[in-house]
Amino acid sequence: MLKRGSGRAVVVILSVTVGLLSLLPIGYLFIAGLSFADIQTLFTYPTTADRILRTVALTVAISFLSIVIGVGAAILVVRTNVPLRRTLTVLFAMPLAVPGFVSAYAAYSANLMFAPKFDIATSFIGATIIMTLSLYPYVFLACVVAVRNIDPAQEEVAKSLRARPGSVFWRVTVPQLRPAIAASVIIVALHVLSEYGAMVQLRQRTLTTTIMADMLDYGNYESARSLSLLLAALAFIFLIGGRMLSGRPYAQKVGSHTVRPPSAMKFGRARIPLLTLSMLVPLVALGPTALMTTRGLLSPGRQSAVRWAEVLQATGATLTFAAWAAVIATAVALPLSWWVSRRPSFWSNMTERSVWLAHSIPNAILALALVFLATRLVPGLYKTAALLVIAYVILYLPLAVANQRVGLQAAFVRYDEAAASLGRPAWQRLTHVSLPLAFPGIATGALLVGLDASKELTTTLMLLPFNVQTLSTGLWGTTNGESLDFAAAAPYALMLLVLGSIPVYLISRRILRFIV
Amino acid sequence: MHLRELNARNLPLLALHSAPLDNPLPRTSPQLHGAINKECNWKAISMFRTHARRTAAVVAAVAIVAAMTGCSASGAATDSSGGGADTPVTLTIYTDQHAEFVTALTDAYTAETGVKFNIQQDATFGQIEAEGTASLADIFLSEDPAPVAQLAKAGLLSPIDESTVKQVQPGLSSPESLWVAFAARTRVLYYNPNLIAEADLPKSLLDIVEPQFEGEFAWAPSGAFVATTQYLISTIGKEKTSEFLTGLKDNGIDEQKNGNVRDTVEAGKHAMGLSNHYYWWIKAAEVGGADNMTSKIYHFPETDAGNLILSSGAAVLKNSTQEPAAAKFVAWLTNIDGGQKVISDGGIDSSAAQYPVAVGSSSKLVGSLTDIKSPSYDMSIYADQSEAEELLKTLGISG
Repeated sequence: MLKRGSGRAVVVILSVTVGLLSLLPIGYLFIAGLSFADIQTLFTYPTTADRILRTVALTVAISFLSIVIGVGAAILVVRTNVPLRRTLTVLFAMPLAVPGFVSAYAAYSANLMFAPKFDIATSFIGATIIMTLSLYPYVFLACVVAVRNIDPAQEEVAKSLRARPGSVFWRVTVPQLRPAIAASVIIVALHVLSEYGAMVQLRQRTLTTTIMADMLDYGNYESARSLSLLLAALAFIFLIGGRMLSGRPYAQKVGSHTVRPPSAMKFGRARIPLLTLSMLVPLVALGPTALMTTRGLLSPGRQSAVRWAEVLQATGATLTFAAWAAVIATAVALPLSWWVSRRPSFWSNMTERSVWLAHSIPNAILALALVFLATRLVPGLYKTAALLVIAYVILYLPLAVANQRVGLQAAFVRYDEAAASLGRPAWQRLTHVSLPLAFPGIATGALLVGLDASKELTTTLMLLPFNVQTLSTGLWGTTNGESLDFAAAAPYALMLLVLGSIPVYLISRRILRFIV
Repeated sequence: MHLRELNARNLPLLALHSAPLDNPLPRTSPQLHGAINKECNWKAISMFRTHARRTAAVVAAVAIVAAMTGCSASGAATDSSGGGADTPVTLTIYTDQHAEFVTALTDAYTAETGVKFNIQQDATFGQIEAEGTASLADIFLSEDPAPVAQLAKAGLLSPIDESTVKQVQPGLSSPESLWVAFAARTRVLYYNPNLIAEADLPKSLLDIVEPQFEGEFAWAPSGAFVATTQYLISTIGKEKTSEFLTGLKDNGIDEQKNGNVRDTVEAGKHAMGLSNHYYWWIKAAEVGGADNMTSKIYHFPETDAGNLILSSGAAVLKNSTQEPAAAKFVAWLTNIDGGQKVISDGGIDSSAAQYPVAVGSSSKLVGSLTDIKSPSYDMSIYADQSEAEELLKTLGISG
């Protein structure tokens, strides 16, 4: 039996271990060698300022637009009387099922097919919209729960004080959403910072594409590592920004009653146009991918390219790796989530942030770091499924932590205290009270880890066991390293969509309870 | 080796027990969930137990699915027993060539000899460098000359047998015989006949920056483009190369990737595009044949940097413990009746429309390399492309 204090010590030790392990890839940058001279040289090139600016501008624009669409969609399905709200909820979440590079390829191909003379997909605005449409669901999912938990009493009090509706929205409603927005928009921002495939296809030159060009076109790995450090520094600034966005703790309730469901905004005749307008979001997000996949499946050319047995094998492998990543990331994240949500302090917060930093460097660098470390520390694990799963865990641990925190916030400490007063030991309170209450958040985290792991490409290519394919690498194999050939890629794209829509459906079903 | 294969096969078990995350939670979690299931008279919170059951059910379902698919997925992994020969050989190939192309070659060799392969797709010099002495690679098959030239320069390669090098047309392999060409691609100009007549096309690569072609052509700063730049620097000097690149940047449209160059010329967005020959053939296969293509391939009429040949190189790693077997494979790969036959006779899926390089060989799809009017040069220049890198970055032309 653990004493109360020693239990906490174990949690702290586990958390710090996880935090330090997450920082290993950043440590690799220094071990393998980098030079600040490379960063200095970078600033002598004429395009550098544009690239850093573009990286920041894309990150800010996509984050902002994701908040607008994510929060708007959440309010629409939770607090209006628009018809088909439950269907809309699933549709709004569905773009998560498509890997970013696939939707970018599809949008680009559709652009070439219908308007070859116009640069729509490859303009800054076009790229911003395409990327936003694949990333906003992170904000949407977090905000559906948050919008539902808004205490209507606060708005009523504000209204009784004769505040105008707009002012109620901005000064009462939005502040209550800030923690959810902040946590989810950080995920969006870090995805944008480290995205490679989609950015290349959409002709956006960012720090990450520069790093990849250093590696792939010039074989200049030292420069790539040096620039990765710059990128990690940039990510750190966004992490701090996210922390500020989350704001000070806010009064959750007025009085001591339980929170009622918030009142719905009633729309009359505007309901149908509003529905049509909101259907546009999933349509534009998923349309090109659905169109190009269907066209590919029906294409007359390259019949031989479709080998369903291989596609099914890849599906099995993808499912296995993703499931293990989800289970292990969940287990590994729990002590940390527990520590940071139950004992928030400078150190617990710093440990939690360190988990996010590994998320910010390009996946290819992370993979090189793991190759470097694994071949030296655990050579027996190199090119095994175990190392690949570890890579996924390091990559997507933040998703588990973020969602577990939300879950643990729902498991109020006072329930735990009530159980303690009934004489229950700590482990029983954990397994019977806190964990079950936190389950929705924990499950969402696990599903998101599994989903992102099943879509991952760059790290997978390097660490995958020999002669095994996942759906992403199988799909990539049909691209010949260049443009997506939808005739050959379609079966893989289809299976990715099918596989991806399972966790998306499970997650949205979980939140459908909030939709009345 | 055995340990690795074992690991791959027993994934579900292994991942649980050997996750080196110094974290007892995965190990204790079965007990944890056992506790959830255990009968409990604690009625006050029995409502929570449905959640607990569901947790256990989900975890169990995931584990079962993982175990099931784990079995089927690992069934695909190599099984080096059997084979029939006295000592079954498995060679590990690191490659950045097209996946289907490499598989076609290795499958043909397996059918002939029983030798099996582990294949690392999308391999880079960086991965081998990061692996250090623990590298598993026996052979590297590159797409462009740069990776094998880099490996040669880093002293990581064993020399290729002279008899193997002699099977290949001269001038395509490493002068020190550290790597040998096994296939080749050429730089070409794509054009859309609806937008420009063949007679009006530039006569040389350097002419494309002339004013009459302003805004008419696409290009992409790909690896082959960097190679062209490095070649130009080594022949016409940095200043003239810089002038040409500036013209290219000002007058052409950067489409970032060779595939995009092809697609935009085909779609009629641009009249011309600088790219590699085989992308066109891949698209042709996609649309059901070369006859269905709108755009066409153009080779510059005289010996020209715009027709530059780039070798795909085969190399044997010094670190390999199976050098004789690896050398044997490379000898087969470059033999006109071996790997070269796969390239010459194969359709688009198996040959990726590459040129065969053996003396006297010719592809039924793209023809013979000897018809290409490329300047002859030493491809070892690609071991160090820092001049090209510096120039391209200074001019603001870079991926």
